[in-house]
Amino acid sequence: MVPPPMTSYLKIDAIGKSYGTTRVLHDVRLDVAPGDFTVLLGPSGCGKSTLLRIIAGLLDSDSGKLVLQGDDITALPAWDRDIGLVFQNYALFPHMTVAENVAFGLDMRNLPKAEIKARVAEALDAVRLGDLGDRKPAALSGGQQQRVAIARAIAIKPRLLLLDEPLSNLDAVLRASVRTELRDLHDRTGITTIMVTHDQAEALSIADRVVLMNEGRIVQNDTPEGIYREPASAFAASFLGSPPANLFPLPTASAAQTTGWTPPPAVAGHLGTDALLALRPEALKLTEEPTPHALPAHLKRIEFQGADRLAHVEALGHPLIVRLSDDQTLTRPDVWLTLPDTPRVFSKTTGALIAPATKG
Amino acid sequence: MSIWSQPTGSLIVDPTPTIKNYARIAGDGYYIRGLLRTLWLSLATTALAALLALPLSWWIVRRAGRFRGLILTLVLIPMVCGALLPTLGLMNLLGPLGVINGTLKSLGLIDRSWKLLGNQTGILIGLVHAFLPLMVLPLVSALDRLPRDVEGAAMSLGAKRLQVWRRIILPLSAPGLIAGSALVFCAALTSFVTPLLLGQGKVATFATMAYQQASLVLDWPFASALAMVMLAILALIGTAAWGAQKWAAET
Ligand SMILES: Nc1ncnc2c1ncn2[C@@H]1O[C@H](COP(=O)(O)OP(=O)(O)O)[C@@H](O)[C@H]1O
Ligand SMILES: [Mg+2]
Repeated sequence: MVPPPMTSYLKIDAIGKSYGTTRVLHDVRLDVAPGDFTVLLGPSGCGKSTLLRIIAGLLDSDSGKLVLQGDDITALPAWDRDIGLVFQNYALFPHMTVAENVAFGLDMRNLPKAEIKARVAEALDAVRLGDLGDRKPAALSGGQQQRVAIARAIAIKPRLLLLDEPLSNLDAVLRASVRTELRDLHDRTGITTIMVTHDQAEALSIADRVVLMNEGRIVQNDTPEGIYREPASAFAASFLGSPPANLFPLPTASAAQTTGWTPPPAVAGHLGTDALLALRPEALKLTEEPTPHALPAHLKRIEFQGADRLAHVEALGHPLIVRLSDDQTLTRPDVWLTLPDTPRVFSKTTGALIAPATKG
Repeated sequence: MSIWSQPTGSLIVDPTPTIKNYARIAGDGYYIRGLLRTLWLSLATTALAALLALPLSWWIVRRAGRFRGLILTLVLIPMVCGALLPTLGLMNLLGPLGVINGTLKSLGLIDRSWKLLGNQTGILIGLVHAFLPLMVLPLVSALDRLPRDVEGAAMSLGAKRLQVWRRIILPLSAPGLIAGSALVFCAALTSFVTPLLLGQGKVATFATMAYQQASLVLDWPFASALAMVMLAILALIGTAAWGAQKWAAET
């Protein structure tokens, strides 16, 4: 079956950017579908904010093209793009009240006074700040300031909403609730949204699409489940999950034999090659009695995490983390580690997927 | 002392209180014109310094990056050199055979030298050059308090560059602008070496008049009357700046 052509709301076409001789973005290509909540995820310094600023028009790319709703906006100045942007530090105008901040974009559009008033009230209500319009930003808490920044960005009914690490300046308790609110707001308004974060849990919980970046490149673009279950690279496997997947380098056949390990058939063929297994902590099982294909391991410590217990073990000289099932008790340090039958195998040198072969 | 008097041709001061020194300032067109000229030069210096310092300070705060220290030092140099040396340097630049006229002529842009010395233009250039740091420093410290990314936020909301300046940067730099303006105005008002050297004795300002009276004519009471007028203006400026700061803080 031929999939229907993807309707692209925003097309990022081979955007490149360098600072001096440092290449920060390498021909980044991304299609964003209308109404999607896309999260750009990646370690700090991988170029997420740079890409976001280029989309907003605050930074010029060196090469490539941006197409929004079919219009080439590459050369359009920021003030003509109708793209709402929420900065990590909110960037509220300190000399204006909350209501004036939210009204700013509408003022710039020369809307009639009455309409401005109505839309300011609507935007403030949407972030549940209806009664704080007369305050100055300095008189608000961090969480409230952030809502003002969001209200200010959505008041202009933007074609696209961009959020740069919107949760990173909030405390842990607030972060979880604001996350839910952001998603609710998106679902109510239907604004196509791109959010930047370095927090994988945040990305997995909020996104329709997770776009994983590393060193200025997009390395995977998938649904949260897809990127978690079928990481396309060792980097993706080790970046997502808390704790992330264990990267276990395969021993040679003889080393395996010496330890008394008969690997599962899907793994055996890779022994002694340039291969790593990516093993999710919850995909591993620890037993006190040997099972077929189990790997002898040494239990070092059990970490209690409330809902979870994590067993720290060592096998073939490599540390691994195993998520224990609720009722399991382990009494002996000598344990057996059961692997999934067909774990994902990556190249140790390039991080590329070796097995299973990609579909299609 | 300004209410004492000194008979013409005598160096003996008569300590009987009198307002005749002030009456002389008010009544003599020469001094009134000098006062107005001084006020106008100070005002023009302030306006030009503000016009130059605003983009310069913004650039230093937002764009200079690691060159910030170097550029600030360069800007400050005229201030720590005192008035005399930079002014003498400027005379070399501005003279009929100076660097500026020489360059313009050799480029064929002008036939006859611009007259940049011995008139108000030269003094204005000298004053702006000498007192620019007094405008830049308070502006840099005001702009330093500008939250990161406010310009970007304004632009993404639809503000063009000029609107960003008018609605965001100017209001937020008002305290620095007011403080800098007061400093530059007062410095220009009382400046003496610059108008003396660059005016080449042809342009009298209040400070050069007072100097003349004190050092050449040796009429100390009259010189101090001139100084008192200047002090009164300074006090007025100080009060106005204070009021303006309060007003800016409230709006
Ligand atoms: N103005 C700049 N000048 C030079 N390098 C920069 C500048 N801004 C960002 N960088 C560099 O570009 C890279 C990407 O930065 P950024 O997009 O902010 O990363 P992220 O948001 O993913 O943390 C980083 O290595 C950063 O040091
Ligand atoms: Mg960033």
